[in-house]
Amino acid sequence: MLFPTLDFGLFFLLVFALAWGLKDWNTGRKLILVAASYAFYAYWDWRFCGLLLASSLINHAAGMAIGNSPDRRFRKQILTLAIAANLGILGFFKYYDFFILSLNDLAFQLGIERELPFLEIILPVGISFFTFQGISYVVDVYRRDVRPQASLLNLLLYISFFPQLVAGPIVRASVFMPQIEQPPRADRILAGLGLILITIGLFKKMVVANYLATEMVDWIFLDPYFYGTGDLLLGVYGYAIQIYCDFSAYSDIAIGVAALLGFRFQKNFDQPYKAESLRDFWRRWHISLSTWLRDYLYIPLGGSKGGRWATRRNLFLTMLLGGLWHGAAWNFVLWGVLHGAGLVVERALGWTRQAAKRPLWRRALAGLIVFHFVCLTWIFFRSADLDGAIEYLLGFARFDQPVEFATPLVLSLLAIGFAMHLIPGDTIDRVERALRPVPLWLQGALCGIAIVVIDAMGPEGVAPFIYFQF
Amino acid sequence: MPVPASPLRPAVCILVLLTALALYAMPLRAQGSPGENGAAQAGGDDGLTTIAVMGDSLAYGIWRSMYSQLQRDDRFEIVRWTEAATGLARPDFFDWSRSIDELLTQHPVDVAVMTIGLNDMQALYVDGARSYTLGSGEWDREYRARVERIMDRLQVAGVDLFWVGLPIMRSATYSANLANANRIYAAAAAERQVPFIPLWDVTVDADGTYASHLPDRRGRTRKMRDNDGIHFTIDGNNLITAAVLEAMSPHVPMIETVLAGRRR
Repeated sequence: MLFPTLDFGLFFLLVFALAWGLKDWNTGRKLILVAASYAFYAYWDWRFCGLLLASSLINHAAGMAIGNSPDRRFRKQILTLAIAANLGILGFFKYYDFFILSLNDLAFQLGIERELPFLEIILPVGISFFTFQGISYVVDVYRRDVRPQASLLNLLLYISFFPQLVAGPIVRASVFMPQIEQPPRADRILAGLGLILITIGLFKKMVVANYLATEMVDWIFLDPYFYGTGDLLLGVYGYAIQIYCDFSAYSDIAIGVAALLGFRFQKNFDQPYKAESLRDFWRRWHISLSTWLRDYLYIPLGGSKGGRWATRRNLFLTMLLGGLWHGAAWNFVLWGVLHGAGLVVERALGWTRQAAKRPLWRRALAGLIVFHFVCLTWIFFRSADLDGAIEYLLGFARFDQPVEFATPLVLSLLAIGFAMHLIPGDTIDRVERALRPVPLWLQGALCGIAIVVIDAMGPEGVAPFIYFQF
Repeated sequence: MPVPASPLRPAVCILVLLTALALYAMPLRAQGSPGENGAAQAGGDDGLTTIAVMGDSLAYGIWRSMYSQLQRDDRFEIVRWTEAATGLARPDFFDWSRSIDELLTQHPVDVAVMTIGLNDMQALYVDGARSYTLGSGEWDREYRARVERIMDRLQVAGVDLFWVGLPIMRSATYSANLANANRIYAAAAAERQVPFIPLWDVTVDADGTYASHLPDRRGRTRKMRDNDGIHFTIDGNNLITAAVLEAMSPHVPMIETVLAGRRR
């Protein structure tokens, strides 16, 4: 079920009414939210629900065993088992095909023509996101950062909560659990903020991202051979804005929908193309994933405690694995390698130190360099394969080609995308404060009108969010 | 609490941009997305064959593969006239007969490759009302009449038409309905001497059943079908497009020269 559809609108209205109707009976409210989350997931394929349930049961059992045992060795063994189970499920669904394909290709090159059998494996949407939440829960219990959840219902809700189930943000148990243990107070919900985030998210996705994709980006990346320097530059700028508007829109809507149900999640994007270093970029882009990678991969690898070279190795490995997480393909590997190498070089050169004290022109220049480096990596990320990415890069030398895509619509969309990065970072909060005197019913009505206008403005059809595939 | 004044400035800017965008976007939708036919060139140039791939999301996959295989060849122009989630069952939602007239007026083409029907396994609507139930004799007759109307319009316009049949699907019921539709397309095509290109045999395994993984043209097993059990992966689109081009080649000499070059 996609957010920008009537189906989801009706589904959410029902869930909203039931959840708030049961606010004085917290168990009932949680039951409704779990049922709604499983119904939301079953909308894609009901068979996936078994996997979601299995993941929840494994992590619940592991959390209880780890949390209730004083034996450090036993706790570590259970943690290892739980992580292996989580990663095993993820790896099977995400990498089995690639693994068999690679083995078969290798065997073929060695003159062995017999192929290993493929299985028809359907990648369940959101599997990465709920697996990461499961891992963070058991690790946090092991680290004693959160208490083990005796209530299976709580854990079922934590793993399956529908607003962020399929594409994040990845929410930590330490943030989520306290919010479900107490019923929400109607006078404390951030309804205004929720409505603003939903409206902005729908605009970013349905208008900016969808138009950029259909009017320009898809065409250029389909075959970059036909385009010259100008169009290829526009194409990659367009993709940078498209993927930001697509992915951050999902997070905005997820956070907004959760806010209307009485939950408060941290923001997942913070004007990423304003970053003055790659390190800064990763503090602004997909924040819940980058902090997850930091806490559950970079730090367990040793973080920055093992000296200069170990730190660089850990940074590089973290980004490489982050790239591989997006998919078993060489272009994603290169994307991760470039980001990892960029972070290592930046650290070695000390570019991240005292960045805020630099003069404005140096900060602007750093921002431009970082943005263009990120754009370079997006070429690998978006291209169908490595050959396509190389073709794209070679095309930058075709200076004599006319520019076809610099239409008023495309330039306006790019301008909107960049303007989102130039306005003050707290604009949404300030608008929310400014709208507080407006009665909630009127805010809801304005949001409804805005959604109708956005729906009329966007291209026809509903394109899935880019990050559903990961 | 005093209301801060500054947030209104960006809000006004965004409102202005929104209005400007709405003005751009609305006429665009009325004309149809340029992306639909952006690659089109008027036919008639000596030595240039303009091929339009028409139909639903299955046609989009074929267009994509054909475009990447032939568009770089100066002798071809590969045009996309596809509209996802459409068919012949709901002309109240999308009327292909009318669209074809408009598209042909805007962009004359030499050859049309049409495949449609994925979304037609439902009741047929007449004037916005459910009128013929899937599986009934009336459904078959009315559906055939709609198929024939499309074929006739393209033939009257002097376009060389190739009708591509539907592939097998993971769902057995869906496949059975599509097989019935294939019989309708093939019969209507035979009556009009329109070449019918079946995809069924290309998309089944050695046992004649649905398979997500099939050998490619080098004999290496690849994932051909998307997770939905309906659409095709890039490799899968290449597989069915190869069958389409092979079937077209006796009728379109330029394609035969391309394929002959590859065979060498």
